[in-house]
Amino acid sequence: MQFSHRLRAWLAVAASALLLTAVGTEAAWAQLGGTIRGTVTDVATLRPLSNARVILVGQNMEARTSDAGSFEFRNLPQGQYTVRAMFIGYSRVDRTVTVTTGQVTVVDVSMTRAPVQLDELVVTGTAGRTEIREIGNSVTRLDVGDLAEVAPIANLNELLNARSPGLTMYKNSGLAGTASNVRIRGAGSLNAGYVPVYYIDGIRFESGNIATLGSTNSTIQNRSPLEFLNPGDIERIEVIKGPAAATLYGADAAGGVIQIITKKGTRGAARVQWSAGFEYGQSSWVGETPTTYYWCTATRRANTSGNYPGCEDPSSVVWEGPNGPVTGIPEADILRDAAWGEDFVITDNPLARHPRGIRAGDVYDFRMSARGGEQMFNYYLSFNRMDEEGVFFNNFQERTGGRANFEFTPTAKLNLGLNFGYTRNKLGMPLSDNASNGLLRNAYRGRARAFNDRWEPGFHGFGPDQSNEFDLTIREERTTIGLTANFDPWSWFENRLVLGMDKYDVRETNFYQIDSTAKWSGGFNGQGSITQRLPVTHTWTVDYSGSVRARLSSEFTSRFSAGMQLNARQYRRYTTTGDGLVANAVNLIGTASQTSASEGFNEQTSLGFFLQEQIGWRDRLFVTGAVRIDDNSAFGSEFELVAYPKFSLSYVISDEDFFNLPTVDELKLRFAWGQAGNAPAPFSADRTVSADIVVVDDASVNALRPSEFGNPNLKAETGSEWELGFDASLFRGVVGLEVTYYNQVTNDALMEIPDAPSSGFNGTHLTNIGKISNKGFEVLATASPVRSPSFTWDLTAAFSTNSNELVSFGGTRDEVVFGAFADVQRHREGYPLGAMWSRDVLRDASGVPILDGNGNATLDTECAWPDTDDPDGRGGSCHEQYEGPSTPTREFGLSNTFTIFGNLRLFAQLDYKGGHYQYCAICEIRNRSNQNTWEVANPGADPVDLAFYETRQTITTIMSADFLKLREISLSYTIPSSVGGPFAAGRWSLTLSARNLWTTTKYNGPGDPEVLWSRSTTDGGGTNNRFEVLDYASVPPPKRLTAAINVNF
Amino acid sequence: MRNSTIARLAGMLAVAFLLMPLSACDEILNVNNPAEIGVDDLATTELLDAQVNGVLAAVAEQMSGDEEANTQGAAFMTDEQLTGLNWEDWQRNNQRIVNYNEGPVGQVWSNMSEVIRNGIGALEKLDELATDPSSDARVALVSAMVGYGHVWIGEAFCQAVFATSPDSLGTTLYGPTEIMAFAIPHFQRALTVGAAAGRADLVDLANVGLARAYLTIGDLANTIAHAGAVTPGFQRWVEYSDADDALDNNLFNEVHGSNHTVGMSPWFLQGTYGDAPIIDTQTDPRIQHASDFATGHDASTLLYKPYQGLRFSGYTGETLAPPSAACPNCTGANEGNGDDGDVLLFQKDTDVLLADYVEAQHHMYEAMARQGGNDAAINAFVNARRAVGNEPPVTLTGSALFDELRRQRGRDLFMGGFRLGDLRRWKREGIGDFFPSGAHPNPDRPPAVYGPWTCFPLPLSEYEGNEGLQKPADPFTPPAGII
Repeated sequence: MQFSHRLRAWLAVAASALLLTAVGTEAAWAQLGGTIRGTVTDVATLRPLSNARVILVGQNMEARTSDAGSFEFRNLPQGQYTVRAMFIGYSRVDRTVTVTTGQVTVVDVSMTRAPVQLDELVVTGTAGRTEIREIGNSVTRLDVGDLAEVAPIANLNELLNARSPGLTMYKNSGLAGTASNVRIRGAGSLNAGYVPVYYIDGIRFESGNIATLGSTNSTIQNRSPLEFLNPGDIERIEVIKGPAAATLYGADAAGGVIQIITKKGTRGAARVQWSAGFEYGQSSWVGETPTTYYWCTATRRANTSGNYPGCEDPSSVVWEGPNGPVTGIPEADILRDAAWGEDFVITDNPLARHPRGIRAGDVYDFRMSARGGEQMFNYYLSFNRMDEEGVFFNNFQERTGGRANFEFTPTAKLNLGLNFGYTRNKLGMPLSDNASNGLLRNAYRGRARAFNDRWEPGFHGFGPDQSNEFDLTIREERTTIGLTANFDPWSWFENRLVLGMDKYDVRETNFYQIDSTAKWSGGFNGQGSITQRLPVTHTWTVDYSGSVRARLSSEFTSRFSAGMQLNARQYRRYTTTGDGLVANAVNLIGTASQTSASEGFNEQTSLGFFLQEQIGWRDRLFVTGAVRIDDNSAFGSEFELVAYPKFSLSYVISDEDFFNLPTVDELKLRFAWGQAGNAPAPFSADRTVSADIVVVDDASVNALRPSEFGNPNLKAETGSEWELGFDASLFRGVVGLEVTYYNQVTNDALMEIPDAPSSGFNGTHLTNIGKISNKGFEVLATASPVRSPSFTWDLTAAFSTNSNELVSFGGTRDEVVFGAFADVQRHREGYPLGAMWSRDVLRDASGVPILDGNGNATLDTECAWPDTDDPDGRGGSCHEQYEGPSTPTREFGLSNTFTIFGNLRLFAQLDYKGGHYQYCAICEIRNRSNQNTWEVANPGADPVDLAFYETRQTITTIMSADFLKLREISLSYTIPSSVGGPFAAGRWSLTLSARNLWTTTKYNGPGDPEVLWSRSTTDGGGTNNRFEVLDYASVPPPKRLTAAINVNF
Repeated sequence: MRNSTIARLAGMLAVAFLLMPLSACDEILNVNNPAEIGVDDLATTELLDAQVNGVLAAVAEQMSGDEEANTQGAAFMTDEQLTGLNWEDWQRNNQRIVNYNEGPVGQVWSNMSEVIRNGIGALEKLDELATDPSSDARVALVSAMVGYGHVWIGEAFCQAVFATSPDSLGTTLYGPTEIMAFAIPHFQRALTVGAAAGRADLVDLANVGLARAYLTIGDLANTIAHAGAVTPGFQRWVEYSDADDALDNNLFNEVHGSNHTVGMSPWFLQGTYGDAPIIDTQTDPRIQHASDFATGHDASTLLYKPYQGLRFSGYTGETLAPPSAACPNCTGANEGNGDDGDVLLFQKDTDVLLADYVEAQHHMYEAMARQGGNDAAINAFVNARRAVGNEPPVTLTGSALFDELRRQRGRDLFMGGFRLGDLRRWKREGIGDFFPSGAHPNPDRPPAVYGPWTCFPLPLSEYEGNEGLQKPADPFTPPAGII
């Protein structure tokens, strides 16, 4: 992306003006003076509160408490100050003190647990820093430091899961480094992507799941764009959930916004605060590895085609056992029954028996950080290293990163922040899911040693020794840098400018060694081949907002805000391939006998402006109106600007004199309505042709072929939402409650219409014609039933529902049918997006499947949709059955913490998702195609049942996917400093943790109810890929056991 | 209130300041798309050749450039090949079980349609910008390709629809002979312009195309006339490259590596399906295959990989079978591993004949056979072709002669993208139903019984992208009355 000269000039002038103003302002603390020192403790437990925020009101000075709860401000001019202590989960405390030059003023603060903090400042979805009490929409805040205290958190996905009501997270696969699928308040878009927008300290960063080489054909799982974040660097996360809250983010944000605020330095602390932690553990396969069965019928026992040696002579088959090759299938693995006659069944569990099938992978994590500062500046520095081995031998992740955050306050009116993060990540990704040479797929589909499927008995194709040779290494470098300037020239005029860049460099190396056995497909793969793909993504952010506060009367206040945001993303990808290597060790591209190269590029720029006016009444009622105007490079040439309005109301009714409910401490009622957009993909508006190469008379020549059909009227989707709710603190701070009902409609939804191939174009184009709705409840409840110095009990429950519906296709089509392996999913008007529909076989009047002359059952394929006779069932003209949605309609997360004597903590997190269905594609394929499940390999089974299972019926393979998981359980112990020795100098804690230890589910497939196969992506690959839900040899989330030690001093 | 007033003024100034760059908005939002060109920018003489080449690229892709090509997916309903693809919908396709949303249907239609639509678009630009379109060889070439696009659609699809521009889609469904009729004027223009340009090869190309189209229509006189006008030895190749960044012949991928997918159908196999080795009986060089079977992508179907036949550039005429009394001209060629023997598997740069003299001769003699009364000439032609296959001469009459003519046509044109059209034509004309039927050779891939389809339906993408079309009520059943 090239910034225009005009823009660059404008930015330079703005930056210079700010700098000059800052320099010209009188320094507020040019002299030495007195000191304020103190500690912050929990009033109930009497324990010190570490990392609490302490500020001097109106002085632009801030400190963080140490592990001992202490803080300090030095060199203060003589005078009166208001010391304000704030901590998530506690009521704000103000203390007014007088400072005398050369004296130390001690201020000890006891804070009371308060689950609802209306005075807390948030920065997401607002025009500048805004107190919760002023905001009419719900904002979820996650205090990451607090969460990390009780259980290790490996990545952002683990952090967000089951903690924010309305945020649905699916871990697509249990492979290390793979992505999760994130939705907030359901899918509001078919084609523009429903993923939230991510910011880190105000800087937009690349957050769509990353398709690796091979991802698009579902052989490699997508990898996570969030892995660069070290959870130890995160201070807190703010989540806003829909258009009503995200209006100020404009044409990208209808899917919600997740803002990550990283840790900053501490000022005034007596010394540098060091923190270090080391964690070791193992990830291992959870549940059973696949068992296969093979029925040796008379035909197979005769083995006239040479295809079934295991059936002909089980004693002659050579297979790989745990300790090496074994000749003969053990009798224990052969099922016989007198009723079966000569027939028998061979059983196998190839992954369990093979020594190079799966492993318990090691996990190491080391983190250290330092934070400190003086009166005018502070800093936070960190380093982390994480190694994780996946359950497959060629799956691993190695992450090394660091962060440096600086803040500089040259005057009381200006605060400058520089945030810099850098991470290197190295990933090894195996073939998975639908890869023909993938290990798990072949273990599921093998013939139980009855047939030598080319190389490994029991595997359907490649076994471990071949599949583990697959070598795809991904090296990522992620650099985020941001400059934030807060400039408040007068108390009533606030300005914030954020400039930033996220740079994401990747090198993917796919290396096929020279293979003399011609096992690997496609010619050159066997002669040695190496591909280097180098995508680089730059994302720039320019974000300015300014607010002018005014007191209109004794009761009314005004806050007028305006701002602009420029986001620019540029993606460039080079791919080079060298085929035909002279030796495996000589593998630079240029050394290959044949080389090729390609390049990909796209860019997208959005520019938006907003105006906002907020009227406050007696600091308890706030009415906010705003409008955001957007333009985007992806809009069609016939479309200009889009405007998104917003209105919200917040009323702290508990501040009223008439409010007198004894159990209610604080109550805020809120309402918000707003709009936000979802922009189409880059270049999707233009009708284009693209370059190709064709051979004419033995020479390669350029050619032009149709590419994009385009749509000149293309614009962003408009998500409209209203939400209504309240925040309440009950029973003297024991219970906190945030309840929200939302109703969201996406108008002008982008629908992907196939280009009629007779037009010469062969793809799809977008049109703004659809309508989608999402409705639901969200409840976030926190409770501290017991708080005493010896025992505390803290609970957090997050519950949400979502009802999703495709309201209209805009008259363009009746439905979209899709699904891999079987057409089980539909986008159909009146039903959830991507809902599951099953088909049965033809049955007689008594419900028994009808068999034809060959003994086969027949799939009932009759369908004339729309079916007015019986829309949901098979009674009408369309013999399909609506099973249900493919994504959860209800979720519940429960976190429970017991703290005993302040030192011993027991934490457990339960995660429930339900109301949805999973398609077990691997079940169906095994039944029908491989015939290696007990359902079809049981010689004693009813022939009608056998015939039934071997059809393409899906009534038994679409299953309820409700599950309840013990997602995390941990025990941590903080060694008392009274123990002495090294423990006196700092705060030491030990943690034992287990993840994914237990699951109960209605899903009866061999995999896991929450996996998504690799073609499921959130930000590309076509409409249906975003909604494809199926289990096809995806690795279940592993069980992870770890031990960690942390020290702060 | 003083602060309030100042604040208001400051706020307004701030807003004005913020809105300043609005005037530069368009410039800020300008983005580059170096991978593509807008269609509005195509009207320039500098891009004419690239547009013509685009048509050739589409032809190459459809001929043998991907799995859905004439030589592959488009022929899966015939008795030429077995697929070892693990994808069930493709396996059903190989069992003549099709619906509008499965297997190769969509891509076959897209590829063929692109040849036509892109070709007509290029012709419009040539007519507009070329110095003298009436004698411009590019016009002849593209016209012929547009003609072939219609021929392929007429041979493969049950029905078709044609657009007059990308924004003006057709709404009338045409049957196979009507589709062929659309090809005629394009070939005739190629004939006229090719002659004016002095390009005998393009004239021959057009004549072969016309003969093929007229044969399907049943205009036997015109078939004979145009086929008879083709210059002996004429060949027009569709070219492929082994360079990674150019289009390769996808048959290479179908016969190499662990996931190979193509094998000879038992109907063309010289030996018993499932027996190995069967090298001794391979005497016809046009339909040779690996002597041992191997399972491929689906780890189930027994695949005898085909070697390059007469339509492919690597054809040598040598036989794996050694000389014998029954086959004195057999050569006993070295099979090697298929890549380095005297007979070859398909390679990335294996070229494919689009049209040639032998093909034209087949069109002509079939037309003559259907006219009747040409047995001597037909016997002579048949025996010439039998000689290529190391078969002794015969003298036949009536249906036996026609059967042998069909048999030789099947071998001469093997895997060249003709078989589906031939089977349909013979069935439609009442000559016989030679589609594979009954049990599929691989009993392990359900339903393992051939279905009723003889042609591809229009794909769902055409119905969904073309508002003027009504989806069939039952996409699982072939359209009535259409062969």
